[in-house]
Amino acid sequence: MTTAAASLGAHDWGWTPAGRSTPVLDGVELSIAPGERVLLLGASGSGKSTVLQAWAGVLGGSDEGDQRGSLTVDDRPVAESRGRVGLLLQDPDAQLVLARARDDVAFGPENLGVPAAQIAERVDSALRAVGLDLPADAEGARLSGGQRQRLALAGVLALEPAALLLDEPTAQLDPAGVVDVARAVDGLVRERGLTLVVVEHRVEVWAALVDRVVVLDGGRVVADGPVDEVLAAQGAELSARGVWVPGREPEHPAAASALRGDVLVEAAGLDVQPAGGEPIPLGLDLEVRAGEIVALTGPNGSGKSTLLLTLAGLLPPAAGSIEALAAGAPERWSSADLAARFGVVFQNPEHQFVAGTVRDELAVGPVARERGDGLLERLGLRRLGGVSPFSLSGGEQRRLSVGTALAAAPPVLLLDEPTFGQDSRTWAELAALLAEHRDAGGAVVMATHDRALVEALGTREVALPAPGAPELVSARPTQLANTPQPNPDTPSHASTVSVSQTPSRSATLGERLNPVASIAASLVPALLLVTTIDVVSAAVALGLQLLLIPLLGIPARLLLRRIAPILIAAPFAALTIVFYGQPSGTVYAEFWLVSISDGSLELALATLLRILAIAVPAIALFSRPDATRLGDALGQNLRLPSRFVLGGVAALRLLTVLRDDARLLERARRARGLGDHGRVRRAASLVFALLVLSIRRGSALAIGMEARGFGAPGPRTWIRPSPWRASDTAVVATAVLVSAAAVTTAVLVGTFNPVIGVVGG
Amino acid sequence: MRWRVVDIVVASVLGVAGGLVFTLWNLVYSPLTAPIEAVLPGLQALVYAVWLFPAVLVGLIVRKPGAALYGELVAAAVSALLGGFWGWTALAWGLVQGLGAEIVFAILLYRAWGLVPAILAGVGAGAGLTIMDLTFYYAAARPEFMVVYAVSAMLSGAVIAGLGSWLIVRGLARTGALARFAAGREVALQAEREDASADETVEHRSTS
Repeated sequence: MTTAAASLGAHDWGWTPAGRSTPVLDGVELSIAPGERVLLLGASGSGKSTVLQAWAGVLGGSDEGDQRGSLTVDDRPVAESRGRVGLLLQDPDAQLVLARARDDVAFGPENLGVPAAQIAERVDSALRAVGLDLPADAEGARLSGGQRQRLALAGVLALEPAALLLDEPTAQLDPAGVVDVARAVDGLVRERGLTLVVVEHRVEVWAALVDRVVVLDGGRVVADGPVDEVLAAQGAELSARGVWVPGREPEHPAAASALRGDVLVEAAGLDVQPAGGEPIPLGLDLEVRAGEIVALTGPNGSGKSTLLLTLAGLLPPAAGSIEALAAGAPERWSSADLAARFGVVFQNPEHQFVAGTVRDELAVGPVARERGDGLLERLGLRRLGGVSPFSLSGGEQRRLSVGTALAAAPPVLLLDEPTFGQDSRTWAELAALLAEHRDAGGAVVMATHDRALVEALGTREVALPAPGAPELVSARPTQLANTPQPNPDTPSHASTVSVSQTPSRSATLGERLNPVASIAASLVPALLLVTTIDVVSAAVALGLQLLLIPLLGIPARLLLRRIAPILIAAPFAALTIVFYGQPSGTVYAEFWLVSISDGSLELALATLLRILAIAVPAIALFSRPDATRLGDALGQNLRLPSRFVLGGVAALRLLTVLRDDARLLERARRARGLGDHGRVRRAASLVFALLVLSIRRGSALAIGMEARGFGAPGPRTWIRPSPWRASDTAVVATAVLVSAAAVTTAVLVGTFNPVIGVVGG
Repeated sequence: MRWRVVDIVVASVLGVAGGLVFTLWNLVYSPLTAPIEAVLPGLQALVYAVWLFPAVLVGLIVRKPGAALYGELVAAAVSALLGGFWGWTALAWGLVQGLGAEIVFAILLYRAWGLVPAILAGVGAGAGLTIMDLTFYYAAARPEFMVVYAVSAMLSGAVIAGLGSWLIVRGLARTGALARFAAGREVALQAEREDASADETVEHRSTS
């Protein structure tokens, strides 16, 4: 590579976020030489991420906080080194901006105005460097977690940074994904000789790769030196603060006693099916007894999470049966019964919070107040009883989510990846809570990747085979049978918004249409048609359109299906006009405001035809463009400000993520006992949680996008052309002419009935 | 007054969430109520402000010129992309409703973000909805119907979009999710002050 590695420096540097009175970081002294590889450790809240964001220049301006001291890249202020520093974040969803992988990698260089020819080279080289060999139109959302994180890394590399900053890059990945990403970073850093700074809880993943460890605490550097030295001197302290130090495993409770209680949950011949996905034929026979912990393990796609949600009565089984607590199938239980019998803990605690305060959260459903207060004490949350559950730290949220599941003292606990992204301290607390439940005669079923947890709790392991694998992979003999099929257990992130890439030549006129032309041809003619409300103009317009629409080449059946809702809605609007239209001529019926007359009947017909004349072509012209193509057209053809266009496109990519959120939120409300009644309350809590998640995801995405040059001053490169063809002009012109002809006809035959006059009285 | 990256992205994501809420609302709402609505003298507009909340909500959170308009436009575009009935015509509603709220915030010089401005912005968005519906669906209705419709839509805008969004913003601020926005920091400061005054009261009691 041509770019020499960058040096990073902090001199007496401090940061106080706006709205806080105490600094997060203060007097930080750090100097990292070009090509040095550093692991940055510290407790949650010690400001590790803040330092990385500051070096990447995405910390925000003076209205977001006060900086003091100096922070440098190559001995110059950070603001002058845009593009020198690349930042990779924890969550791939916060970094993938465009639907197709190659487009996404190009996003950064496009923002920096790199010439288009160079961008293509950079994309190839970045994808090669992270070991991703993808077809040209591969969609990022369809990749595995590890692949997506490598794709995000390629997006950072395409900026050709001289220093690489990684903020917990593997915290949200399964074990295979962790290896994947660590290996990619290793190869890359050695090959390109980049400066590397990694923030991570799990020391063992990176210890071999780095040559220096820096520990932050209380806003300052408290240790700095070679890996072995620092771990030897500070290991115990770091471990107590939640860092996973090799050789210092967190303490955990004793493995299970040989207690063998009653069967609490029993599944027979069970196949599962994720919402909106294909069935996964597990053919599972399973007994869960009181006093035992069952771990559902297996690689991504094996159906662990889907199986867990099915056992929990939150998804219907695809085949087979579940019977629990001598009360039949959990799927058919009322929500209140479900909450009293099963405690369900979701992977992301924020999916299951439904109350305004921590204390109220523990009092949802059939729970005695005293028990809730007791739990607060036991979870170490008493001081926080009055705050919003969403404002807790990650570890506190995890404890609370387990607490809410335990609140109704259910005999069975079901947990989905409960230790995902947790530090060692939270991990140990969680293990203790589960063991306590087990030893009190309860049962636990959990879907997990976490080997340490599986072993620490002496679980009975049910290993689901890899999708497509011919044989069962099971640590102990279980009653699993059947050959599984490849299938995702995580909700599909396949984007429904994006359907086709740049349409091929064989595409119909409708599909080849530039999205801007499609919008213009839908809206502009409508502006003309709404000037009058009369049968003639509406009928002429509709008639001409019905003649012209077949030219767009949409299959009649598809068109009819899309128009169906209008065919229902338009007559209802017309019915309203029958009753409440301007009366004239013979009056057939009259009471209060209602007056059915010749006049209102004619106007109703005009209304019906006019709604169809506006809506039918708009629907026919609407070919569901993918978000990327729409953004390219709005930015290039309509020349709307690129920051807003791309912000919208990036947010659209989150649509599928948010829709999965909404599904989980709905299920979580059933699990919490809110599913039976109070539709309004349930909907309100769902929408509120969805908005919280939106803002969280949006704020993270903003950092990811800004780190890739989004919002940089100067012109932007658009690498995908958005051609405006003669056919686009022709379609828009035709649409306008049809409306003009219709309105002109109405004027000529004297039926033109101006809407302004009607509205005015 | 310049939009930061986080303003743009969060406004966009909130717009997308708004579009998602629209589609959920659509599923629950229209099939059940269409026949009843058809015979109402304009009162049907009383619940329509669900379609208006992204305008007020995004305006209150982002506090930048154009935020209300942008939020409502994105929500409208998303509802179109998700297979809304009306194709791109949804953009026209988004534009006019968003402008309705935007004009109110602009008249207040983008300086007032309290409950009253929120309610007024909701009314503004309701006026936008009225203009669109009365030209498109009910252009032939008699004036009495139009008056009832307009009042219903604006009342709905005031309560659901205005008061509703204001309550949501307060709730969101308490979750800490709005830490990068002035709207979130104000509520946090207020809570701190309340805590402080509560502490003072306690101290006062203990000393007296």
